[in-house]
Amino acid sequence: MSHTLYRHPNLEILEIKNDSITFILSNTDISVANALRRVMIAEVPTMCIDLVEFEANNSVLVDEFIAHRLGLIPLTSHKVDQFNYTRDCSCAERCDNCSVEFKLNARCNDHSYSVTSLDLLSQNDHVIPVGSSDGRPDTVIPIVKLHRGQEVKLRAIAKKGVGKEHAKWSPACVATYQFQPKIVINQNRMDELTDRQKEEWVQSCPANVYQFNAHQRQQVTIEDQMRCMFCMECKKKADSLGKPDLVSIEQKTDKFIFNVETNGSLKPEEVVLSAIQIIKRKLTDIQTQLQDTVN
Amino acid sequence: MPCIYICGECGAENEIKPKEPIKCKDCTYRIMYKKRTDRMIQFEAR
Repeated sequence: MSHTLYRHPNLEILEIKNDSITFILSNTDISVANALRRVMIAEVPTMCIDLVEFEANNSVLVDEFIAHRLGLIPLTSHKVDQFNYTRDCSCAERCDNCSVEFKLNARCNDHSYSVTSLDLLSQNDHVIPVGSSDGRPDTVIPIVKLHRGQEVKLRAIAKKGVGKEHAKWSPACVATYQFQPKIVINQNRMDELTDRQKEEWVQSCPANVYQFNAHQRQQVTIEDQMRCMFCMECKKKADSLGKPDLVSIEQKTDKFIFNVETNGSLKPEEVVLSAIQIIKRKLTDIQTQLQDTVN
Repeated sequence: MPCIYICGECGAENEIKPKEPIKCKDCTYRIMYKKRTDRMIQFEAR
């Protein structure tokens, strides 16, 4: 770890997929990495249904149940910055600048009908249920199943919010970081073991970090050290084989490997960028307030 | 405003006045259900 006064945190992207991102954050502290993780989970704003007004519902699910299900549907929130929080908006109750209205009007005339997120009609084309625009039947979200003669008619109001108010607003399904492992096998000690013992020791790792093939190569090698979860089972096995210095495992605490998955409401890179912006804004807020009190 | 209840057995609508026995006029069943309001009801989706 460098101990210069000013450090420049570095971010290296390893992989970006449709709904997940993997990157390495380095040259900074655990506190910063954890702040980034927590902000991504709890403070990145998205849009979600927050109020549901029922006109009719004679389905098998009660109103509260359907309202709760509607709240949990992720909505595309790429334009969330254009919206105000309802509490900060200049309008009296709510307006187009702080809310999006959805209408659901479904009635079953056949034997049965599945009400899905496709039946939720949005007033704003930018805010729609996730997976309802790509035309694939497997990405549609079921809401309630109707029998003949049953009907659901409602109006739902989506608002901007953050995950710390209710988890439905959290864009991140997974936001984790791990330390980079540093695994060193003491080959001299390893050579003292029989092939049978080497095999046993390799098998002791539940994450299959090591590999050993007695026929091909005589050496035990590290197959993928990123799989290591620091369970120290291999250390325990080495102790029981009477070779406590067989392997050394350390955590490099200056590199953090982040893995972030989203629920589709935002792109994974949008979640990371938005989280960094939020941390920056919090810091400038503290700075200005501190300056105001000093002056 | 008349107070209308739905019979739990036959589903018939019954108007029951004060002091009247709670009993379906069609099938004499004694369990009655309230009708759903025709007003809009609002819920928080949480």
